[in-house]
Amino acid sequence: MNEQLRIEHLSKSFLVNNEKLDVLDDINLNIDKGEFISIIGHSGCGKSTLLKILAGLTGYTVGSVKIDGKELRDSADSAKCCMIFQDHRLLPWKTVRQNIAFGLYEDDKSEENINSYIEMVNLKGFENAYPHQISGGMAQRTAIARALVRKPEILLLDEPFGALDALTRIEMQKEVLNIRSYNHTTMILVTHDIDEAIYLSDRIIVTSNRPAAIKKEFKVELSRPRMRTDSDFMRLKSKIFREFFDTYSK
Amino acid sequence: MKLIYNNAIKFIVPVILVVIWVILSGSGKFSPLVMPPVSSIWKELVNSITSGMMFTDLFVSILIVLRGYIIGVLLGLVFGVLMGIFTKVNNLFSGTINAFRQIPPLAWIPLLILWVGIGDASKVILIALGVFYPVLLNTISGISEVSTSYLEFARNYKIKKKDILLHILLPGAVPSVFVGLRLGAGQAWMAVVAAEMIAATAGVGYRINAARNLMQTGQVILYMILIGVVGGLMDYFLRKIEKRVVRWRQD
Repeated sequence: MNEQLRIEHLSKSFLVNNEKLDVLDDINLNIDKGEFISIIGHSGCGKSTLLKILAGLTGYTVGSVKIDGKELRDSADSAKCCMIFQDHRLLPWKTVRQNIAFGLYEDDKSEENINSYIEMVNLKGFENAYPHQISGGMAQRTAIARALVRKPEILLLDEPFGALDALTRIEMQKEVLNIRSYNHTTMILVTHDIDEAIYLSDRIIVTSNRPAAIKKEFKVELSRPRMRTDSDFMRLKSKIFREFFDTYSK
Repeated sequence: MKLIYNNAIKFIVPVILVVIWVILSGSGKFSPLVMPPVSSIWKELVNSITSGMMFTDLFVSILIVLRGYIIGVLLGLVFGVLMGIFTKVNNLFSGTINAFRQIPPLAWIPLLILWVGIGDASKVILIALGVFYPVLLNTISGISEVSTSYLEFARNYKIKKKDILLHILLPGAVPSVFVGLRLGAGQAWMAVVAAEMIAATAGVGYRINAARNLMQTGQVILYMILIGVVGGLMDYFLRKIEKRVVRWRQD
């Protein structure tokens, strides 16, 4: 496996009302190309801040973040990590197709190219709908296509299915695995759904509450496709569950 | 059925107003100079149409309104976009514009007459002034209120500045711009009627003033209704255009 992302001693704090608020505490994490990593932690514990740093939306001063050996803050101009936000953030004045095309660089705006992504996320027939005319799951799939057309090295998913109902969520998780079968993009998912993390990930990182530090790491060695009702699945789930709540009961 | 009901409900208040008018003017308690009967308005309408006077007046006023409106809208949009995008431009102009905005357009009439005379120019400028402010302010707020979540997306996806402007800020501001366009249209009619009362030889404002001098109260009321109808039509067409342009919007 070749390493793609290396995070070393990354810490981050904000000033809130002149008081220093630590959000990330000495994060060390290596991710291989094509890996699917989930980060589970309580809401507001700072895990989203980690994604924002990777997305270039907020800076960092302590520690280092290297993608393919290059320090992220020095190569901020090239889009390497595309974020999928919890609210899809599609432009409401653009159709599904136009939104996907908006993610493209000028040089490859060919019809076939866009069509292939529309097919990949199963949105054929909805190309000309506006975001308010489609369901939340479809909108999120459009957002994923809009990110994938940029051929990002890492796809950052910030609780992308948090606003969807439970059944659509499961559909979307299948969809993500389906997309991954076309396209082996590295994915980092932030979630607080243990099921979702086990179903999708190669590795699961459990973070402590603010400031977020890596508390424990689990390798998910279940064969795919995974069944939520399998005994191994359940065993891992209860292990993570216990870890999770032990961390916070102290 | 619901559609018919919704449309019918709009006519309840006008019908009540006309009924009150008919009762009051027919009661014999008021002189026809103060409260002319509804029938006299009808007679005035027929006269104004057959003599062609109404069309001349409308044509003169609409032409002036359109000229002033277009100038005011263009200036409002250009300044609004620049001030909405560039903080420096906003800082440069906002204080001055806010001070000038407090001056009612009508207060400019004496100066405008001194500077450009009593011809069309002074009226066109007056209307442009009245239209400029609502278009400007709504364009600025439209741009600045485009959700920051889209800008965050644009920053992460490294969208070019040009594309942020053309594909995010400007389309996002369109609904607010239309509010400005509609408010501006109302201002334009107010300004033209006031301006024509002071210096004109034709036009709806002129006609109201002339009719007042001749004690033709019926004609005053007829032209007031006319202004209301034309203003309403303008707003109706602007709303139609808005619906087409912003068809992406959720109802």
